[in-house]
Amino acid sequence: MAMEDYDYLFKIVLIGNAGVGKTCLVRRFTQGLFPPGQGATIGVDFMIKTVEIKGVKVKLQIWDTAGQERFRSITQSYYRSANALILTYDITCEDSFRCLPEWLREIEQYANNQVVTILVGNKIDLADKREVHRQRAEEFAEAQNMLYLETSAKESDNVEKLFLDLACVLIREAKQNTLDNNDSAPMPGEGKNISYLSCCNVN
Amino acid sequence: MDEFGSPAVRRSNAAAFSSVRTETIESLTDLDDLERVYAQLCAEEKRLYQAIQRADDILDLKFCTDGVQTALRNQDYEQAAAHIHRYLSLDQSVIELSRQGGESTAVDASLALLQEAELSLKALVTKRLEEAVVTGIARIVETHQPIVETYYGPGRLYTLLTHLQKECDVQAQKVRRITADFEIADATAAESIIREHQQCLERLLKDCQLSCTVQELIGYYIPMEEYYMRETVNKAVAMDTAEAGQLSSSMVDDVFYIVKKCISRALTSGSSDCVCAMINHAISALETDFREVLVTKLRAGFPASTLQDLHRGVTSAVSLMQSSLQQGKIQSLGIESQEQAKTAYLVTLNNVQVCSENISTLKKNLESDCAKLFSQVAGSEQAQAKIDSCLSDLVNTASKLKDLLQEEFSEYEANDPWVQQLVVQLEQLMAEFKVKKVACVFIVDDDVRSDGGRVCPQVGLYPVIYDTLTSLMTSLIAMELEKTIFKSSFSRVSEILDYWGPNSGPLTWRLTPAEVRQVLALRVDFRSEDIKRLRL
Repeated sequence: MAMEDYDYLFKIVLIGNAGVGKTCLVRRFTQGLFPPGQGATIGVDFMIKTVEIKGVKVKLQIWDTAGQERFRSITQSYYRSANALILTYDITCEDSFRCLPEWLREIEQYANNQVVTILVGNKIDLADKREVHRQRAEEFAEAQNMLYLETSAKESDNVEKLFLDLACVLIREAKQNTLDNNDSAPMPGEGKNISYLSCCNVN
Repeated sequence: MDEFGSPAVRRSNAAAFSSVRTETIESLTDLDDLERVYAQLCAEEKRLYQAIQRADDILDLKFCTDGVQTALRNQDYEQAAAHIHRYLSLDQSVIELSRQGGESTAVDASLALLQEAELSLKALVTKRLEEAVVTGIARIVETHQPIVETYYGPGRLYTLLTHLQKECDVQAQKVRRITADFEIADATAAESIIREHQQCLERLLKDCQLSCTVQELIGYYIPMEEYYMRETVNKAVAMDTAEAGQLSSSMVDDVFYIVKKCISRALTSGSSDCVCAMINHAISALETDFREVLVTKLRAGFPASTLQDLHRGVTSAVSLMQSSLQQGKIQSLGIESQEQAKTAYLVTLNNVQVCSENISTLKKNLESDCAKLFSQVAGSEQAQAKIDSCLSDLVNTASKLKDLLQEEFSEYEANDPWVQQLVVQLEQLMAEFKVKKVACVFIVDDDVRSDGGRVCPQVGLYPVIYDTLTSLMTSLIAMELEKTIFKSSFSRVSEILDYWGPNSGPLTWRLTPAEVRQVLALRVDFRSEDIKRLRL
């Protein structure tokens, strides 16, 4: 393979109940569209998008998994190599929120222990049908040591922020790991100011 | 006689000529008219043809309307489809024109009928097709399940399904005709339309009930295959044997045979998700369980057996010094078990190396297998991308194993267990020697005392004796160390010259050139000519 044109490659896996809008989030981010009447995902879908954060090229490999129980044995095999997991629920569906502990058990069992998990409440465009209060979700996320974000794939709210923030966190973690493992060989440009990575609303 | 001979005749001829000319001019004007008439006629003819065409079309329309109804009534769907195709190929403007004619209501009715027939035919065909493929299989499973369970016991349905799957695949081949059809239709179409068609087709195939069921079946298969792989890998580890003379042990090849088999079996499903899932599970097994086994073996470390040479040398020196006293003992493993541990460690190091090579081979094989299998299937790009990603993870596993090897080597470089053990044992030896030296002095002292209880004038010599003993001891130890250095530090005979004579720097070697040659001769990899030729 030719020299890859990126500084970092991260694997992001989306998980969560069926119908919470995982595929729509991915489509919105990777293709900029909202496919109405999207059918259930079968197995696993795979998308790639390269973003640039402050001059650092980050290739995001996004695995969109089927939420249905019957496809679980296929989707589970992707957890271990994931750098980040986007655990998604639907703010208009209490059930999808109540299943979160079950998903966390899956993560505990199959993912590696350095994985970054972010909780996402999707469909905020349907505010009048909201069943899960923001505060409740925030508290849950905090208790589980997860980041939290609310999005609307339909209105494109926070979708870009979700993936870019995640990329920032992953870059930071990757840099820390390199420093821990091999402090004699820092990455180019490192040691200047790592905190500039914390703001990444610029694409 | 010359007709135009006489002048009278000539004159009359001239008059005739002029009259012809006038006529010609007149007739030329007529020709213009004629042309106009001809053009008119042509137009008339064209209109006539159009009228005939229209009449034909209208007749066709009527024929199609009647034909479709008859065909649908007779369940002759091919015929019905042919009629609708004819209707769709009729000039839309003709149909529009027909509606403006006197028979507009009749034509309208025909058109309505045809459109309706088109829709109902489409729905019917879709329904029939689905029934034919999916319901057919489902019915077979339904009717055969009780039979299979009664006669072969539960758990055998899988076998039935594998056979059915073959048939399913044959049926699915027919679906591929759609691709061929699109190819012909798209021959002249724009790139965007071609892509749209492909996407439509992919979605159609991906979202159909059949592929959903296949995926579900794969979902049942994967945990079984994964369990089998994990258990068999464990078994291979448990049965591990290293044949004498072999650089690596049996488990490395066994484990890779198992992993390869399992992934190849997954590959026969023809589903990229299935293959990817199995590659992922294989990576898990190699990176966690199997890596753990290797790490545990490496942790046992390499026994510092070279120390024995030094040990023997020093202890013999000490025994020389104090023959009447008990010889100091250095704790060490028995030679035999030490050899075993040594081999086990080296085999494990080789195992790590071979594993990482095997992973690369496995990756290459899978890559070409997958390319062959998925290159013709619709949606192959997506499948290929998924597999590529999983395979690159597999390669990462190889490099992670290589890191393990590197770690081990740098660990030894930084904390050479040989040197560490040497330091510990020398300290032990010296402590022992100190005690014995004191004991030795007491013996001398006692000898002196026994001499009538007088203070011996030779007492002043004791410090000299201690010093002599100590320097002799140090010298012996240093010589043994030098021997060890000459024996194990160099990879080529000539390298010694970098540290000998003018190159020795602040070092003064205690060994003589003859002794150095003697030590070097112990190395099996050094040629005796080279040693002899060495200018020391």
